[in-house]
Amino acid sequence: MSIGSSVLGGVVALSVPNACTAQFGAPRPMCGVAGLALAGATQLLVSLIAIPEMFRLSGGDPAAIRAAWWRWARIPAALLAVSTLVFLAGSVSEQHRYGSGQGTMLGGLGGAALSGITVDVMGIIGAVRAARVTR
Amino acid sequence: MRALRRRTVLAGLAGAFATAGCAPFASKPSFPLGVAAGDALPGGALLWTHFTGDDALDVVVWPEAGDVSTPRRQAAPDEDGFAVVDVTGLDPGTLYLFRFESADGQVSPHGRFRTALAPDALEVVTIGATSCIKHGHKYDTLARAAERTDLDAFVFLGDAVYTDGASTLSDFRRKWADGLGGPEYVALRGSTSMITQWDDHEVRNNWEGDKVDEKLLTAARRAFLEHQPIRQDPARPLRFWRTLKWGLTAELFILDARSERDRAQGQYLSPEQLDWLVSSVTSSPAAFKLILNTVPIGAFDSPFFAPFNEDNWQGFPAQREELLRGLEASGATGVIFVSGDFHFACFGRVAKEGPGSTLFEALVGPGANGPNPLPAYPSGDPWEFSSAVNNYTSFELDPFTKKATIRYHAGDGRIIFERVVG
Repeated sequence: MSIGSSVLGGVVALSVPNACTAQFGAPRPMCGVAGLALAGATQLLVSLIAIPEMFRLSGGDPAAIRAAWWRWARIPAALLAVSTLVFLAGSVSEQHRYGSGQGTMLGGLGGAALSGITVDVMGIIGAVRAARVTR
Repeated sequence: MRALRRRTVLAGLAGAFATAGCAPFASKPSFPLGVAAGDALPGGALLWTHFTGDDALDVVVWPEAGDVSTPRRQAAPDEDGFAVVDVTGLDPGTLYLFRFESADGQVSPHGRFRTALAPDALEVVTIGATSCIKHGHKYDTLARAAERTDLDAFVFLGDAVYTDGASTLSDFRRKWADGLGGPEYVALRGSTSMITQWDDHEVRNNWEGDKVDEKLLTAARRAFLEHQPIRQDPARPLRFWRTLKWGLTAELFILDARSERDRAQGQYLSPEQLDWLVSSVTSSPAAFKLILNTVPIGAFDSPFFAPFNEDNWQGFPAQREELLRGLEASGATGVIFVSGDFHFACFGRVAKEGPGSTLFEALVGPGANGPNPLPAYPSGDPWEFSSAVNNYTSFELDPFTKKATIRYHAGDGRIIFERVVG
């Protein structure tokens, strides 16, 4: 489920800029920002809502698991948000002048990828530990 | 609802299997990839087809207008069904039709081409170009180009099919048949003469002459030559770089940017090819010199392009600078690089400043492929235009005004960019 949320996030991250490219005939950096922000939000929401509910099947308490998931994953989630802001800053610069924001955009993308994976890993650990306690 | 009966189902399945099994035999065409003309000269062209029958072939050529009563007929010996005939003795600057006929009466579709202009002729010449055509994508840009009757020639600037994954000659042939088999592709190849060069996907992604399996290269090269009629020097049949002249209007310099690479020596082109290019452009009397370059030479050196630059001129900076400085020092006018490979259309100067800043480059294609997935495309000085839309480009070369009108055409017929240089 956690991996599924990441994959879904990846699909969202690509589909928005792809739609923009189809619409405008060329990519727009700000469409990449929208895709990345939407992807991060999708990943967090799906993980927060759906994963704790899965533990209900094995007798876990979803509310406690959700709280534990968030406790473990909140720092990488914050880093994911920061990375998106870094990507935004690069995109604004790039929109203004080609080549001026690409390094920043790549930094934001790399940060988003790493923190997104970390969100999944930390969230799973937190959820499993909470499930053991509440079962 | 009617109940399904066992016998009805069995009969239906039997019919379906029989139809599927027989269909390939019932409809197998004799000339599945149509016909093509290549590397037109003032007095002739290479005429090509792929014939699936066993009988002897002739090619028949006649002028599109004027005296059509005495068509020229010539034997068209084939090897494994691939026939390339060098037809000579034609009139320069003249439109011809042709077709292949087998001894047992099978007839190919008609093809059409224009012979190149006489060496001293001065006329407006219009040349189309694209690159990166992948089986499975819509071929509508090819269809639009095929509808035109004013293209004197059409350039396929590498990645004309994608043969990645092929390892044997039969693999390569199958990939070529898949790629060229679309009706739009067949129509375009038959509509005017072709000027073709290979890039990487005719062999393997990003291959280089100094690090490619020799058996793979031999099979890929043979398949390429079987499907793309190009003029070869009999003394040096593996040398694919060459020049074609259209009177005093245009000369096309067709580079081979793959076969002669030697990374250890910093060699993108062989010294012989590089010297030939600079000296030939310098001495060319043509009003326009189109350098058909397959992989771009422009200053795409921002962070997004860093991973790709090893595969293009940027990865060989000494030769790149030598070429650009040499061309600019020659004082040659009307020089335009025509490039492909990057999966986006782009037009601009080769560089903002320094070597190449006075030269133009047009990136053509993709003809039928997905767009480059980078989140931003080149814009602003030195670039004037970039687009992810599948396209072909036309170069209308007017030697009287010394102006070239460059238009990018989308698959829906729109002109997405137009620029006059000169």
